[in-house]
Amino acid sequence: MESRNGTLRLAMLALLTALAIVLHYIESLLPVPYVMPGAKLGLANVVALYVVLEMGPSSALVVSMLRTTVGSLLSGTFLSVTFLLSFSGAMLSTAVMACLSRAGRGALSITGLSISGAVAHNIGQLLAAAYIVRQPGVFFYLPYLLFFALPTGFFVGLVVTRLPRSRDWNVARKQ
Amino acid sequence: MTRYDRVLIVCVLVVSLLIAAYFKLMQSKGGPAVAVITTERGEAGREILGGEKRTVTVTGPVGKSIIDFDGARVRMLWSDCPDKICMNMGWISEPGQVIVCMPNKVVISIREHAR
Repeated sequence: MESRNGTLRLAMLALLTALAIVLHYIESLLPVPYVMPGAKLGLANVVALYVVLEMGPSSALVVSMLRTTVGSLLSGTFLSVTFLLSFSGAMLSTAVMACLSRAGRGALSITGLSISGAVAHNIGQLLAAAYIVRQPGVFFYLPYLLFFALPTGFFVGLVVTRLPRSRDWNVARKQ
Repeated sequence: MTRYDRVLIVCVLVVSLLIAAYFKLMQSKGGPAVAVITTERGEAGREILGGEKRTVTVTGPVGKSIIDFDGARVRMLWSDCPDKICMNMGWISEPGQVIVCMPNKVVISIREHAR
């Protein structure tokens, strides 16, 4: 039973990682209407938050790391500035969502977790940007990015809320 | 949506406004503004805005960045970077505003004139 669950878990993680990579790639193809540098929908965050909720923090961090790495290999931006920004954003975002889902059990809804993840993503991105160009002035963009993070985080939260959860499958199996 | 979700949203809005206000308050009162150009090697130049139309070229890791001064405003006229986000940022003129070219590591920031 133990090993069967282990196999199931591995298969699930592989599937979710693949899904995250595809979403990451699709998002890089979307022609973002020019509003703000770095503002985007955060489709791959759907998977990050789902993995945080379903499989725990360490799995989520691994998925986010693989997603940004393989995603950047697909779009030919590996180790470029674009990659560094999305990597640090994704890692900080996943870490914050994991901490808040553990520490503040139930205090924040899935939508609240998603919004904090979107906010952390922007902060992580700008921290990396500030480090790369050695200029704290890049935080000039933070208020504008946060303003976009609210609706996009809300949208991602709505999607994750509607995804089937494993506890629901167990209920369905027993019935 | 729980009560803490709403608290979170309000906090994000308040913090955004505070940061925006901080950058807005950096505006000088009447004194001329300077555009400070930095590259990965440090400060590359400092130009008082409001002079003649001219361009300044700096080089970074991916190539040339041409900065265009026109009266009280400044823009990235050309950059060899792949995404051209810096060129799309358009003109800036207010102290506190920043144009960043991440790939070429060039930053143009407008500050108050040094006393």
